Amino acid sequence: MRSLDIAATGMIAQQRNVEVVSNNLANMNTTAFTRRRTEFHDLLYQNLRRVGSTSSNAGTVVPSGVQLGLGVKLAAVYRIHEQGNLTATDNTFDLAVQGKGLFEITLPTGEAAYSRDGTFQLNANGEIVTHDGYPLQPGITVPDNAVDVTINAAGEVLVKIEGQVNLSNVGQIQLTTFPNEPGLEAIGDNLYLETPASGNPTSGNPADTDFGSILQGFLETSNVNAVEEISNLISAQRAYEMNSKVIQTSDEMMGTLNQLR
Amino acid sequence: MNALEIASRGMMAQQVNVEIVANNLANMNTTAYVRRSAEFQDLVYNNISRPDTSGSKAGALVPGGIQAGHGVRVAGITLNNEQGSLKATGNPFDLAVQGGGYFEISLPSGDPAYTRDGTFQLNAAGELVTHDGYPLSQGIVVPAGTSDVTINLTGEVWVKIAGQVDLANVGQIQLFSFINPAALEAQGNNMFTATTGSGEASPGVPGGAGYGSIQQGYVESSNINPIREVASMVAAQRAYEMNSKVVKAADEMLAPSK
Repeated sequence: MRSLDIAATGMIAQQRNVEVVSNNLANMNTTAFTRRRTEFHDLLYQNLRRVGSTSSNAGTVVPSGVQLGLGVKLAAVYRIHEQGNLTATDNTFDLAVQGKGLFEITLPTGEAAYSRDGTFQLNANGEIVTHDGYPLQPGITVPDNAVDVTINAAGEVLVKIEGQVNLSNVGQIQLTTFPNEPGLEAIGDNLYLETPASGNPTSGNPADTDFGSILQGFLETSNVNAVEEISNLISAQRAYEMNSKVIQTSDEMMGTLNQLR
Repeated sequence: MNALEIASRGMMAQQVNVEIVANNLANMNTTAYVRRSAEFQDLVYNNISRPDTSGSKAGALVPGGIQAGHGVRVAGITLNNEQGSLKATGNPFDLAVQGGGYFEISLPSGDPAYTRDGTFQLNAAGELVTHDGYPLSQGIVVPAGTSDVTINLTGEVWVKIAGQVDLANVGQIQLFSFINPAALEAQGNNMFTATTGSGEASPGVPGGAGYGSIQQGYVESSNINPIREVASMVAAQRAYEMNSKVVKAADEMLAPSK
């Protein structure tokens, strides 16, 4: 009874669908979260009668054959890197990227991670760090006698030091781009790692050609669309139920078979 | 006792029917999946009394004769290539075909495969590839430094390269059509290959005569209609049960002779 196994692949696939939707909805208010979409592919086919084979010596061809499909599989869960909305926070170290590019963060292991979540803070040494205390790369230190910090669209960090007339430039924030951003590996904490699929990172100054610009006092919201997610959730649940009906039917058919003797 | 054999063939055929429904429902949310349906044929006949033999000297013909059937078999499973509905995703590399035609994918073996699943992505070299990393056969490469990609209805890929005023055309996506797309051989992974029955693939520009247009930011949903599937599942189950009754009756008829 293949239909039991086939319907089971369908139920498993729809369960994954609901899991992806629930993760999207759970991260609706996560800074710079990119929504995920599930992509399903059909599984392999059993050729009971091969399509295109000749059905007689006169050269007549079987027009459609008997190809029995064996279910469905989850082919990919891919991220859709659309720009999220910007929301004003007025916090000095909340930075949003408008356009392409990710911030580079140095993990405690020394490895580079990338993020579009620009909610930075200062640590005890005045360094710009993430909420986990991981420093921005290249490292920028704000002197402790600074009264005001301005970060402009090009990523220059300008500080007003008490008693000085001119602002002084204490660093340059850089952005990193990849040939294929959806190919980055998500490791949680709004961080991504480089993979062979993402391609090599290219660093540059914000607002240069090919790089987005920095907006101080803003954050990028997630690009989750609640309406789309809810409609996906409904269709996944109904598909799950219909597959369970197939299992029930297969079970009843086997019951019929058992009653024969 | 032919009835046993005949009814068991009927049960097997209805089992295949349910398996097809199971596969259709399992692929309800599979991109560009087309629904399958079973074609049944009657098996050979035993001529106990051939129709049109003469019943008498006067040349009176037997009007119906006696032809005893031997059951049923699955003759074909056909693809019903109706357009599925389009669903917006907002991803620039999700392409749906509205109308006829398939994308051509280069398999690792170098052979072409055809698909209507246009959920492409870029690889590390900027090439347009499927979720398995197989490239589109036209080899479209989105150059580094691209800030925006627009793919129009006729399959032209326009990119906005930072620092340049005009959009640059980096390639033309082609579609491929078949004389009989219902005879394509399904390979799984949403891909098909050409067969003798389908005929050769003929390339064309999207939007041209006989070819659909490309819709960027959309995917084609499967064309499964749940009502039809559930109805045919109910019918198949009942037919299965009725055939089982025949098996039971045949068994009971045999019983005294045991």
